[in-house]
Amino acid sequence: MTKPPYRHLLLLAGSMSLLWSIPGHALTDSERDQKLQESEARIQKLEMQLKNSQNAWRKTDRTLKESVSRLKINGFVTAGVSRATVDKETGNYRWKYLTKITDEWNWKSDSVAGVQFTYNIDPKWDATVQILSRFDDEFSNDTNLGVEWAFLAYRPNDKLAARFGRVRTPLYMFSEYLDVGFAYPWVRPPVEMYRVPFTFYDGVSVDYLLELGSWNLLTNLGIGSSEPGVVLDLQAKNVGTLNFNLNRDAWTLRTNYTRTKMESDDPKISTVQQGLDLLHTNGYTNQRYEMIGKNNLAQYLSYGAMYDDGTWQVIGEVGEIHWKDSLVLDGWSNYLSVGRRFGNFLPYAVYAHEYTPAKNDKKRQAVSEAALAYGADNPALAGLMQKLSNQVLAFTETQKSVTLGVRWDVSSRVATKLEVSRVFGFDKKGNHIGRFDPIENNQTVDTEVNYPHTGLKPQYVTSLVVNAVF
Amino acid sequence: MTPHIFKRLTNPLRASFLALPLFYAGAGLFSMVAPSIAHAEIAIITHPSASLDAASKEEVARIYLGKSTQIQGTKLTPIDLIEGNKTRDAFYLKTTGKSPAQVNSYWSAQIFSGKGQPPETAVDDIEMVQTISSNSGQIGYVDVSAVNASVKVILTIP
Repeated sequence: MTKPPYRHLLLLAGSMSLLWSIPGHALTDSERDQKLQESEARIQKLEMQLKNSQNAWRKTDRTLKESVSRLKINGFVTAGVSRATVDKETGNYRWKYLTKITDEWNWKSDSVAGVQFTYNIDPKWDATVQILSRFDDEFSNDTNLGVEWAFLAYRPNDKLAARFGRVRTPLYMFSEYLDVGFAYPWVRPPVEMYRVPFTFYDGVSVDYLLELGSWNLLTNLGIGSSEPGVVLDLQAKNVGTLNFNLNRDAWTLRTNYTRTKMESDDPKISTVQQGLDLLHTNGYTNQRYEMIGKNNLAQYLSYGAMYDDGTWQVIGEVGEIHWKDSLVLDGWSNYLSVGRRFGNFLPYAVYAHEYTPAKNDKKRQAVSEAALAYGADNPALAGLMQKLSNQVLAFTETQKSVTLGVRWDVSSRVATKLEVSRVFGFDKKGNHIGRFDPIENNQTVDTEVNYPHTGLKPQYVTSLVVNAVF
Repeated sequence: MTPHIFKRLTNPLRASFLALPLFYAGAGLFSMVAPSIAHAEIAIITHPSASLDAASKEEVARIYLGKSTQIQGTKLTPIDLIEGNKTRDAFYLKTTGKSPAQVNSYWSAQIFSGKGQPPETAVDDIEMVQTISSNSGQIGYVDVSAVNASVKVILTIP
């Protein structure tokens, strides 16, 4: 505790009176007058200086306030721990879920921090940059910085907005703010739908807002291409995305269609491709199959609906990914989330599912069998062909999960969530088919590993996070 | 058989999965004692020269959530009271059904997807009335007791 300032004043007054009471040496009247004048002049000078500096400060303050009001800084933080029940009793392997969640509590999967700067250049132009920081992987404490939004926006009127630069791909309802936990009810949007290889593109994105009575229709059209991504070096070229979002009071309905040419230079992919070409040239398959080569067309189509009246919150989405001329699986995904608010608590339940239509699976089954047959006929290549067969089958994402959780709004800018998911990511034989990956010697094992029949049962994934926005 | 069952019951994660419904029930009970909002009436105000004389709750809600920039053809810029103000909390609950956290959650989605920023703010009813009365083309809200002749009331929310 510091002493109140009046104590100093009292002390000062005391010492002053002491000084006055000391009999000084005699001064003549003229000497005294001169001293008085000098003092007055000094005081006037000081007053002028004070005024000048006050004016200067006011001016700086005004300029500062103006640029501060033009610059908006917003941020979000999520700190969270999670753990999966995948146990260690599976030979040499440990397992992880969603690339970072292991059988030991760690805070690397969902922890993320972001800051966004928006500067209003003039009433029609503004510039926005959003920087994200998150952990690289579950093995180290290294973090990486990423820029997922960076654009110059032109808003000529209330209806139209054109953004030039890096924007997020609006594949699904929450894709554009996937990392802003405070903006959605769950720890993370259902992974069965939301874990896709490309989240942003560089290009042009145009919003057009149409008011239809009390309905709002927001149309978004975007074109561009992405940098090679973290997953298998996937690069989305010639991205085209069309989005309709219809909204009224508690209701939101949306649909998105996105098409892109996928390309990968990843050596793992090209090794697989060599094997597939070998099967075709030797007549074991009657057409040339590709995994991901050059220009594989991938199409995303989704529909979503949300009802949120402040008490009940119901969200559902269905999505399809269709790969043309590729052995990568077509995928379907859907989820339904139902929650009800009790004061600041929002308990919710989510069912999520992703799967592969059987038709496409037959195609891969045939390729797998062709590889095994080729291996049997050419014993020298048997090992390689076994690997190829496994690899072709490994590109599966089939998973079901049931999640129970509760969001608690601790304050108007802080929320905490506790969530337990029961995840079915293995089939009855114990084959890994979902979002689990094996780890061996602190390395994520490549897909060419022959998966052990672990006999694993449904796994439980528990997460506790705190979200904040400022 | 016995050890197996024992293992099941003591597995903390499985136990927590079963315990969650109990947690929900607890949360439900807790909510019954949640604080109630202010009972005061709220006046939606504009500049006296505004060509608009009346508005609905829904129209006002749309303006404040940035879903619209006009009411019945009259262009209006919303002004908010600062966060933590009781009138503000009551206003949003009555017009949009949203709690303060839900309003921020809504704006987080808008802000971080580059779609928009929430309205500018006034610190209290007095500043709100001053701002609205000295700028045509703005819309604001205050406790009815703060209304004076310098502004026009276009809606009163009980």
